[in-house]
Amino acid sequence: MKILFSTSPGGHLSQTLKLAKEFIIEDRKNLLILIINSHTEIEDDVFSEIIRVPMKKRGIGFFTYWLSSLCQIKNYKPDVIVSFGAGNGAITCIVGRFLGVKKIYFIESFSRVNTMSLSGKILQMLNFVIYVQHESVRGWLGKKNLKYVKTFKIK
Amino acid sequence: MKIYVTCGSDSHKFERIFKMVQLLVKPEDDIVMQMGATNFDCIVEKNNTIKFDFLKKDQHLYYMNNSDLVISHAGAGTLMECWQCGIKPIVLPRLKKYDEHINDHQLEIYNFGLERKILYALQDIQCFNIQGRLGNKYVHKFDKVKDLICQA
Repeated sequence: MKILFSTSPGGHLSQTLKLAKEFIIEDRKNLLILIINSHTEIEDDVFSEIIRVPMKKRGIGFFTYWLSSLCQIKNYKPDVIVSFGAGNGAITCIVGRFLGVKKIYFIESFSRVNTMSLSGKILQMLNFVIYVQHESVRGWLGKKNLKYVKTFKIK
Repeated sequence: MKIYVTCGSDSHKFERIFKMVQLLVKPEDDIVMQMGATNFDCIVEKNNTIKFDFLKKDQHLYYMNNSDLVISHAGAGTLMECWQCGIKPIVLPRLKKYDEHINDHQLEIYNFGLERKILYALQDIQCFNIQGRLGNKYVHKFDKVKDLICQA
């Protein structure tokens, strides 16, 4: 399975790494590709390819997200796109749908306990299914296209 | 006392946390500070202080696990790492009104931690003579998300 992850640094990246590791525990055959909008060092030997795009959120930098997503999806032809946000991840999801990727998962960051991110709200309006990590977010915007997945528990 | 102060990889400055820490540290404390985009030189001169802009993951986890207290912004990544290591961090959320982040979403996970008593609020701390460990360790796992992706 070819999985394209698209993320920002910080907590988004931490969560992306955790999920990506789930795919390599049992099976090294999965091809994991990461698009990230930062130069953050990624030490874990998890991804087959890491594609770095500029961080700028305005002007030409903003359009590089779209262009880069378009190029990478056309290049790798992923079976699945996964994003924990932020904005660049949402763009990859939208471009992925436009290019016919069937499985697209946008997972709200664990930091979103009560509200949804702007990226989540936009994708929800575009009829994407959004996974949230807190039940308290689930009632938001009338539960449309929101699914809860439990990720946090006492050991 | 060994104190590790971390404010993540965000591109915004976060001087407020260092100013508050400065008021609470004692001259004999050893302090390691991961400062990110923040420039702040005023931490008590007498302290044995090491400053970094950014740390590699293994160094970050080393200081986290080998400190008596961890003081942090309310970034999801750092807080999850603390809770998984059984650490009860002292936390100050970044706020938009001080230009410390693009919005106030850090308040959500901060309040989540406060309600469950798995973090301390930095503004409530009078001195650092507190217990920096939790009774339990917590797990943040994505095995169910993986199952969802594989089953669909």
